[in-house]
Amino acid sequence: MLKFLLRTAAIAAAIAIMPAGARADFPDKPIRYLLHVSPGGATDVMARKLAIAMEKILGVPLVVENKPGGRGATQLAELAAAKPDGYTIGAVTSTHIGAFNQTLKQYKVDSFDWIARLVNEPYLIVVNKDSKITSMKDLVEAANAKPGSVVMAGFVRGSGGHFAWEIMAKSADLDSKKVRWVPFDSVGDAVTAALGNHAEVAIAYVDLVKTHVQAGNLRVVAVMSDKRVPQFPDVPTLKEQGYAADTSWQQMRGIIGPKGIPEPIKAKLAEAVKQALETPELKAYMEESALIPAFQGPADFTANAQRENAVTKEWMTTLGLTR
Amino acid sequence: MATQHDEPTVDISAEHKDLTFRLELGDALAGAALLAFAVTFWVLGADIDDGGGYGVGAATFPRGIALLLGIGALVLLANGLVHLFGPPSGHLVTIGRPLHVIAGMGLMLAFAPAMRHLGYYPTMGVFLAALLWVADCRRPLHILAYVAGFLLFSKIVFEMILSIPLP
Amino acid sequence: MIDGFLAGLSAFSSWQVMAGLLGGVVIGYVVGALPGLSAGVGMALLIPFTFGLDPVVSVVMLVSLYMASEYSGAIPAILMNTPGEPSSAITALDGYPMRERGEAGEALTLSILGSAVGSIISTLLLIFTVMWMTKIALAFGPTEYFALAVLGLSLISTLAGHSILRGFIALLFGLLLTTVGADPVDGVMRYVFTDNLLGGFPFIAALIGLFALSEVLRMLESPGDRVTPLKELPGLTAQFGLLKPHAGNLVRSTFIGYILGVIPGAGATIASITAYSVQKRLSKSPETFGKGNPEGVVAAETANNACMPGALAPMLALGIPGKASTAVLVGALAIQGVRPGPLIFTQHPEIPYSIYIALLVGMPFMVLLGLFGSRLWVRLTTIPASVVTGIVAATCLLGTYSESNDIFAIGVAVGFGIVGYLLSKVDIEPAPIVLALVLGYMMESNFRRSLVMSGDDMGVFLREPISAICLVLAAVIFVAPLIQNLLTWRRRRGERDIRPGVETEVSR
Repeated sequence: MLKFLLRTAAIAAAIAIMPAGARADFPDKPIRYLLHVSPGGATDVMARKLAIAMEKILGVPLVVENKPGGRGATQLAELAAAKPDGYTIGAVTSTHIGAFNQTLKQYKVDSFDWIARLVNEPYLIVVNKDSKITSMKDLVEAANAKPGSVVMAGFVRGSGGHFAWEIMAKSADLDSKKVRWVPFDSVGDAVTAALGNHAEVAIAYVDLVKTHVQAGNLRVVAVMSDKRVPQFPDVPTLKEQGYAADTSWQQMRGIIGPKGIPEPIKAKLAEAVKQALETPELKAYMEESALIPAFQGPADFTANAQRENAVTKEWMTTLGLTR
Repeated sequence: MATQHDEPTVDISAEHKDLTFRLELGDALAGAALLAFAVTFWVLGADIDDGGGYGVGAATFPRGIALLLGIGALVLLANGLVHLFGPPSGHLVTIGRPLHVIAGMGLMLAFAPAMRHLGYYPTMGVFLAALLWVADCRRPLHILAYVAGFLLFSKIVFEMILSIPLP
Repeated sequence: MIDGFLAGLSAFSSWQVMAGLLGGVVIGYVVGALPGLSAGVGMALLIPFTFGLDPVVSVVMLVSLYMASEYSGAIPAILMNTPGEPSSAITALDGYPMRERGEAGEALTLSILGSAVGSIISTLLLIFTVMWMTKIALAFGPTEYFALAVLGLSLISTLAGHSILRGFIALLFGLLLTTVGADPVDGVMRYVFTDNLLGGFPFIAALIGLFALSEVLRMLESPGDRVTPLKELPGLTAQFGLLKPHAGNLVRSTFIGYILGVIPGAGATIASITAYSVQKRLSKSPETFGKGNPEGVVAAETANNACMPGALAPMLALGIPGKASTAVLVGALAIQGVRPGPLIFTQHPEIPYSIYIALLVGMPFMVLLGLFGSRLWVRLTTIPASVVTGIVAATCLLGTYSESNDIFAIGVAVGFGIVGYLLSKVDIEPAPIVLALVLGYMMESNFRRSLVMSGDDMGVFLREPISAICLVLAAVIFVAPLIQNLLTWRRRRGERDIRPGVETEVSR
């Protein structure tokens, strides 16, 4: 397996240093767009919307292929083995960077070419409607009054949501003994647990809880963002509530490719992403889904990924997850 | 691997090459294999990081189940061995045409690696033709027709209608 | 409610909606019958086509696809021991032996009619109880899921057949396999020999191996020119008559299917297993289960089709996708800008109501397709075994690949096929392994999650009422047949020194 990968990588490298003339008119054939998720989820829907918009811009089909399994392992293995010619790209989220530091240590940020960032999504904290907690202050007081009485539901330990909570917790002098992190199979499952009041508090995204908040089943306690989000204009930001957490930590989505894609091709792909994000269809979708447009080109995106990776590493160590 | 065992109650099957042995022997073999499997999981389970500070960690379940499976497999093995030396119970395991079955297993095992290296269509073509041959479909024209038909079916239904790319 | 129905009905006056309905039924019929391509995968493949469609058309098409594929998974299960859908593995337990006896036509008829009854009653239940069902769906948290999984696993005592020891070995073997992969709570690796195993063994591939590929190996044991006898099917009206003796079974299995459908994460396979076990318990001839008892086919098929409308309840009213297929529906609606959830009944009433109507109107089409189809499909059994062997193996390998576009899954299917074949030679059957594969992860992850939440307090499982009831019930279900078996064993032993457990025609 490893031998096979190495050989493919060697072939790929050989192709990458071929004269640029051979690929002057990129793209002239369909582009494969590999996803790490099963069809139907938010990441999948966004990717398919983006593919449609990019098709019109690039003039070739973008074939979305779902490669779920192994928390990104299946997708990344295929992506890493593909030729770095721009005809195979993949979706990336903050979860991938978490995985590089936890379950998929054979990959690093450097193992891939970071082509473009698409959107950011702020984390927020919700509570069941029957909870006495109405603000971040209440949450902190409840946790301090009786350590362990409040549990926070979210995705696995070491996921973006987990760090988001730890960053917030740090700003409020809470630790994992006072508020235990309960890992669910997905953020959606965590929200369901909060709906059923099995967990009083959960970490979530705007889009996941929007209708439940409108229907009065859940209440938003805090949003991890500098500005109030338009969907919940009445919820004060963390800073307004007096907690100085680093709000730059948000769930990111972007596009990566195998290492070694020539610069002009990366630039062309990034430009297509940028234009696609400005089409009315995607603008409407992002607004509807409470996604914050956050385009970045290859250079910025790579730097950003490195920064996110450093934060992840630090938190992994702090929380003792680097075993 | 297994001893032929003549029993008065053996069915006289269509072919003489059937592999027939006492169920006790089968039990002993299966018990030994499952015991080895359980022991492997138990031993490797020791390497699982069981930290996290809670009483029930990542290794508790796998090792617990491996222990139970090991006990079950041991009982099966012991039972088989004890009865193997006792009077025959008359229960038999029959594997008809073992060579055909082994050929079938071989073909299946070869499929995934072959598909990885040669791609779907050549692999499936050879695999289906060979399996049909093993399964006693010996007319070349028929085999050809079935293979061609199936590959066409893959192309039309999977690649074209369902748009699942086949490597 | 009346307004909603009117909105839904007016949507159905457009030809596009009817075309979507028919198209969905036909595609679902094909997708369900192909092993590996489950309802969820089929729906996902349709998603790109729904972009340009009206929301009602796309949801009607997807729902009717979902409905049709839940049924048609039974066709290959009965004819070739190849479950087209995970849940139809249970249908195969008795459907395939029926086909070997030449009763393929009867088994197929029972499966379509059972499916129809299950689906229609369940849809009616959905229409009237959807809001109330959300309470049930939300009542299940980690503690309750753990207890539910234990309750499911206790069914082993029914499924194990004649030998308790062998049943247990199969169950433990399956449970051990579910621990492979990244651990659900701490995220540490367990027995991950290759990255492909990070998410554990792919379930559908394992199922195809255990049932279909091991059957392929069994078929190689005998000469390839044999054909199975085929009993003539009665006329169309008499076909309906076949369902008559199963009235009680139908009602029970429908309720089981519906309720288990409502609980997110339970799903059709668990519903089938439960209905099957309950029917076996209540049957006058439990010993013929697994050897071609029509009751088993009816129970399994009714339950898995009744499960589907049930699964729509939390999906519509709470936006909770309980399983892969409803997750795709949520995604398809999201593309159209419709968010399932508490507000859908006021903001987009046409969506739930057109789903209801699609389920009710689509079913008669399904039944017609199924009844005429069964007449056509049974002809397959007259093809020589050698050809069936080859085509089944080829379809399974292709289907396994296309489920996840992953060659590794093929290797898993083959591995499970060979191991399943060898184990069945010593009477270690696949059914308990499947039970374990379905429930193992649910049991472990929720057990540990509960303990994290309670701060390592085991008492939580007995304090929560639902969990306590499930656990007590599990203990009763588990212990009762053991005692029963022990008594029979004693009695037999008294008669003659025969080893317990081995399935035999003992000369008495």
